[in-house]
Amino acid sequence: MAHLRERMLVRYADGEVSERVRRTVAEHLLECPRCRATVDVLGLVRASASSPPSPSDGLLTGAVERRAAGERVLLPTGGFGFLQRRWRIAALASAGAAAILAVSLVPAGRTGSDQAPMHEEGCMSGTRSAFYAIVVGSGVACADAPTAFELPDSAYEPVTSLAPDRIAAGTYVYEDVMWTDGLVASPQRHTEYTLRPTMVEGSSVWEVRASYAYRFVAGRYARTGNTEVAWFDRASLAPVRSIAYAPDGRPWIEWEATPDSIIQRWGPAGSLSRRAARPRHPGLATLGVTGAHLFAVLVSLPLADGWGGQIGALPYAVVGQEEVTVPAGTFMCWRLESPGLAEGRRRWPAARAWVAVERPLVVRYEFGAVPDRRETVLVSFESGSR
Amino acid sequence: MPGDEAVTASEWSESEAVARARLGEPEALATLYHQHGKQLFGLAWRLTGSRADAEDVVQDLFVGLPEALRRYEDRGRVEAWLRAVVVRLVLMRKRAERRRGEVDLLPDDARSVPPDGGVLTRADLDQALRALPDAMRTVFVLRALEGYSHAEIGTLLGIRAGTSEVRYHRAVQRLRAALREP
Repeated sequence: MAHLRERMLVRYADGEVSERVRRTVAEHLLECPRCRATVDVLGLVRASASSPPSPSDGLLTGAVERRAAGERVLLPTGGFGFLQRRWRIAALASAGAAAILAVSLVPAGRTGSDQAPMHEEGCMSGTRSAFYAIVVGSGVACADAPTAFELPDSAYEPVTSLAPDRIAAGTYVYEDVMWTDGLVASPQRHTEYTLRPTMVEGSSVWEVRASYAYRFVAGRYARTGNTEVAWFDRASLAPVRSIAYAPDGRPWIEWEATPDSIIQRWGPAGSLSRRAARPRHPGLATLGVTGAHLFAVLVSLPLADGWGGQIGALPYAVVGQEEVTVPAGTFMCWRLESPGLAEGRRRWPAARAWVAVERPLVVRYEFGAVPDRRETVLVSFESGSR
Repeated sequence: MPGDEAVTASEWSESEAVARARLGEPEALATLYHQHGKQLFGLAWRLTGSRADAEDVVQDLFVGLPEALRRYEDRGRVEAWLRAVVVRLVLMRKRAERRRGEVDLLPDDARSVPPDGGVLTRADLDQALRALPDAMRTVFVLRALEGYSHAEIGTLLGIRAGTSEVRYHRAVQRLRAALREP
């Protein structure tokens, strides 16, 4: 039996056909179970889709509390196509219009002094409110300002000199926030990395265990995300293997480095596996727990004035020393900058890292620029294996 | 009213509530939440497939609403405007999640084919909907369950109406396969 075109059936189910076509289709459906299935599925979903549950008590109260704490969210109110809007915001930001946005975000009847405090030096504070203030109020003027510096030639040479002995076992807690599009932040994310040396199949490796949690200022939500464990070689820092676990403990995604590639397995019984080229240099963010792996590479670098080198795909260079204040304390840091990279269709945005001079710590890391940016700051650290 | 709230709504008209909400008055926000909160939450829930994510979206909406309303031209269509903002908020969250490399942690059966020839349950349908890729689910929910036209969806998502229609058809195909119709 000939079947009707799917598009015709869907339009029929949506009541978008003429009376004549409707009658023709209806007659066909009486005799054709396959076509009827397409029509039925729409009716079935419409008739049976569950009614939404009611929102939790206190949802609005939480919003009011967040506002009272100084938090602001710039909403995507439209008027432009979704993607068009991104570019418009980006253009505004690059033109220094963030200051104008800052003014528009100060609520009527309140003064700027009501807003969360901002560190002038490091543009960083431990509260989410301050994060907003930073990106909206001074995102262009502060850390996002393109730094005028020239990369040394060495910045394009893969890093070959590492001091992996600098890496210290311990527990490192970071907090990061990502902005996208209209400067709306994701929930603040806490990541706890526990780093310890161990042996895997006769090789000496670092093992990183990472756990994630999200929190809001009002403290109403505390949602645990994925946990991950990864191993990378102690001498070369090359990635070995990584597993991401679901909250119930099931392995969810696995990465494995072979001599020539990275194999990623995920989905039901690993059915959605794929293979990618193996990173040529240490630090390429490929193996999950990417922050910990990249940070281990960063603290192993022989940083000094004039240093440059390629970490993963990105060329980095030291642009000087800065004192940086984060929730974990105040540290004198090497400031590394990378202008990002465009390679064919792939784009890596600019990145900045602050590595403590006296201690093997990545104190702060930024990736991207307004309007899409992620900032990570060190909240606490504890040396030694637990 | 959706949920018990410490902040109480007032008997203002919608226009007055909008005007006062622009000033950040909690009672005005409560009034708008009273009028539209449940529908907005329902939309976010259908788009995200997650109660927690939907609550996050709606709460973010009301945190940012006073400033956003200053850019809203009152033409008596507050709910339509709020719904569009919710859709965009959901899409932005999805994009951020993808960029962070996060994955939806659905139960096993949400990614496999539901029932063995038995009676379809609401849970089966919900799971089949949740298992759709984000782009398809968004279009399907907006078209089939929320009644948007493809032209409206195109404007909302920044895609062509024809693209919306193609995604919708593919969603129907996937749903049919997932629900194991003959």
